[in-house]
Amino acid sequence: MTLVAALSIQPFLYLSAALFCAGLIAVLSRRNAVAILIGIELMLNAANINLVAFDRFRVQVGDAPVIDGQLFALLVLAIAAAEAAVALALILNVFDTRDRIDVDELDLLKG
Amino acid sequence: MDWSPLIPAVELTIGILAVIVLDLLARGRHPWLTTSVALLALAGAAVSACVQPTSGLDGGAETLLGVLQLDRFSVVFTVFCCVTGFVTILATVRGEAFPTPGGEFLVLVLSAVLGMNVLAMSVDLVALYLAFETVSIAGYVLVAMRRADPRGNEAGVKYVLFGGVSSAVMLYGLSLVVGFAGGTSLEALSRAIEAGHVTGQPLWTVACVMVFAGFAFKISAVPFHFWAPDVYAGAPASVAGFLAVASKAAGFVALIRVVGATRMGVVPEASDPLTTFLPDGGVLISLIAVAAILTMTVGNLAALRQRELKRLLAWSSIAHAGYLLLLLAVWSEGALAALLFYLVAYLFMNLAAFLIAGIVIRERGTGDIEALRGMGRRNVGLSLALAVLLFSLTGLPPFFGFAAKLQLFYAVFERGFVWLGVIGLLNGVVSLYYYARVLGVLWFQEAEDAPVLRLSRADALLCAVLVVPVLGLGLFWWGAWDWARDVARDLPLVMGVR
Repeated sequence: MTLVAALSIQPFLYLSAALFCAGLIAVLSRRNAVAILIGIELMLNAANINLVAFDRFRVQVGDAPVIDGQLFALLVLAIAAAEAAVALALILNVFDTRDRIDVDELDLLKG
Repeated sequence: MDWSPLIPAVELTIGILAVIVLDLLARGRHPWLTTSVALLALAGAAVSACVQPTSGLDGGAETLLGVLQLDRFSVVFTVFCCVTGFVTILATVRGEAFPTPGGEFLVLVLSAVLGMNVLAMSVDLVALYLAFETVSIAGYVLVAMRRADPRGNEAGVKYVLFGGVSSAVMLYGLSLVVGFAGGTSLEALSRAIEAGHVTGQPLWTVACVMVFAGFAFKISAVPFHFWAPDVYAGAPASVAGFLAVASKAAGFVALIRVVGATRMGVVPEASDPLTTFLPDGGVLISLIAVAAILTMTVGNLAALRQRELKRLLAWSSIAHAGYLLLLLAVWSEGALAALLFYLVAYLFMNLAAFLIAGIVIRERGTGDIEALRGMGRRNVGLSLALAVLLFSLTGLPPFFGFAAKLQLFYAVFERGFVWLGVIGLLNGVVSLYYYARVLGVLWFQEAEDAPVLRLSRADALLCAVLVVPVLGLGLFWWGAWDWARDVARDLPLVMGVR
């Protein structure tokens, strides 16, 4: 019996919940745009752990292996990369004009 | 297997590739060439979406690989987004932002429309999330297209950070939903709900809240709305119009499919008119009803103190999202028809309003409402058009906005949600104040030094094409309403009955 088979799903869900909270705290408390981006990545990967874990512990119907969730997780990785690329490009653009990327200083648009 | 549902998507993809290649070959020397290719791709996608055979109620819905479902509903939204993309490109050419939009601008608009096309068809959470993000990521870049403009850059960073957080929250919610459903398809979800796997589960409430947060961001519903005014103000007016119309409609179409899946088996029936405050239909519906009330009220009250045209339109579009959410909370065939009807009115009114805002900003160099001073005497045609749009946005007869609001509130009251309807009507009264304030500046404040706005024929033509339906369908809306009611008969299809 492998280690994973001996486990139940709960530890995975707790881990992902913890990771999600860590990401959310980073997003809410950090003022540096890149740190916020890192927080977002943590949250996305927390969701990925959920998706893969649910797949692994799903009651199988027939012989066919269930891989919807794992496929979903792979696509999420691709999307996360695209989103990070765009976000970094935009942040860099602001950095060019201000030399700071503190989100509190983004105050041209108000009201 | 029948791959024909993908034809519009393939056409858009070919358009994207063609624009990239042509832009490289022409090295930006012939902007009209890439622009016309992009317009052609959008027009082609819209036409082929219309002529496609769709699955009807009698034949049952057929899906492509269980992931995409082509029904009349998805066709309507595809055409809707193609039209918006088309107008956005034209308005950008005429607007204040760039005299000649580069190939990358066209590629981004086409990608966003491609995402919306897939989103309108998806009946699987994987496809739904992918398409959702395609729309979002293209939008982030579109907002910050003017690289030298610090306001645009700031708007882009705000948009991408808010968007990233809300999409991560939504994905976490979706991962929990997948866990409950035991699969990624909406069909699996509705089966799981019917089997009672979610009843009394606190985690299901958490999942619903999280998923709704993602949608609320996309449609700019309170409390996930605060990016909208900043982003619309920082983005070029045409792009703001695109986000306000197409992006919001895309959010609604996905929300409708998800709500449909959760409401499968819940038979819509009339309820007691006086006792009902909130609709009863599970967590998601209660959330939507609360968000609808908050969104209308906050949007309209915040619009009262805006000084800038684009910000005012942003808050007004938030308020309109609230009205549309009302219909989702009510959830009946009539409500779906009213939603489609309202979205059509919303398309014309907002695209035209943002187009005029773009023209004013181009000519006056500022988007302040004060910049409209004296325009009523000097540019009579444009001012009349703006007056028609603002009256229509308020919902006054005899404009299209009135017919749309009439059907909207009829659908709400018909199902017995008196309180929701009354709150909505009160909001309509509030909105009259800030729209009328703009009209006051436009017609009754004189400015000695204000020059006449230079309008080209193309500006005037584009305005006329968008404003005439607001007038025409305001007077003769029966045909459009019959069409909306006909499409709404496919409600069971949207709810995933197979």
